[in-house]
Amino acid sequence: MNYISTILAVLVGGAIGAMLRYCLSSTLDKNRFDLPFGTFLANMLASFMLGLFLGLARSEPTSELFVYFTQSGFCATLSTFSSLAFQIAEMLREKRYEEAFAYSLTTFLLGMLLFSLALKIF
Amino acid sequence: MNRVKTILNFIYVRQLHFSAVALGGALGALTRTAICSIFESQILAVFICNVLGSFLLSIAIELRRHIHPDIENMVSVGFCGGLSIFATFSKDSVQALADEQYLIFVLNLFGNFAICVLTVFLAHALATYLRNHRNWLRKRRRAISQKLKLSRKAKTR
Repeated sequence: MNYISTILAVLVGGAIGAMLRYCLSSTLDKNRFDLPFGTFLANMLASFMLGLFLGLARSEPTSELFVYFTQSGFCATLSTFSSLAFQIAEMLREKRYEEAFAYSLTTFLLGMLLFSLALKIF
Repeated sequence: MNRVKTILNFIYVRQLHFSAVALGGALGALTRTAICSIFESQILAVFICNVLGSFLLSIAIELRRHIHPDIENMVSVGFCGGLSIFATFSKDSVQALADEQYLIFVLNLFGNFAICVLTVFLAHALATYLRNHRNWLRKRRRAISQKLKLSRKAKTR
């Protein structure tokens, strides 16, 4: 029974995160700057929320189901690395090297920063 | 009230897209959890998931014209987005920095970014090859049948 509840938690959390990321990326990814703000916002939100949920799980007693639902399910599907890699490769193919470097660096640094900030909240 | 109506209409019109993406995301998260449970090191598991997700995403987007858009959304936005993950990658980076394991931090960072981008380029090359040579089998069949026809003509003469 433990396996089934874990699987269900991951499935439902994953579905919600994927839908949210689909909304963000389908509306905000195409703009006149050609910069994928939707994926960027989704990744940053996911890093911040992972920090929140991790800090919450460390400081207060939470069930394992909650951990799987939020960390393995919601935050994991809200963030994506494959779309990030595809967008960076597209920028490199169009020879926009500065934008590719800036986008990857900003995503990585801001993600780390938001995660560590969110950890310190709890 | 008007804004609520537009949002509800948005969801109503796109509920098939949403369901496809949700299904893909659920399956992707499930496979990623399974892969993470197989490997002991979370960094290695996340790396493998990211590489697989990048490859699959690039293939799906390159061959977008030949696939139904809902299925393509389910596979690319849903499954690959659930399979690959950035939040745990940033968590591992912060942890590696905090534990002063700088080699693991640098390897994680460059390994993930560089190899995933290389995988995207590789998948782009593979998809171009598939698109250009998808008539290869038909041409081979035609060549073989023409050879058979010529040999039959030579025998009857």
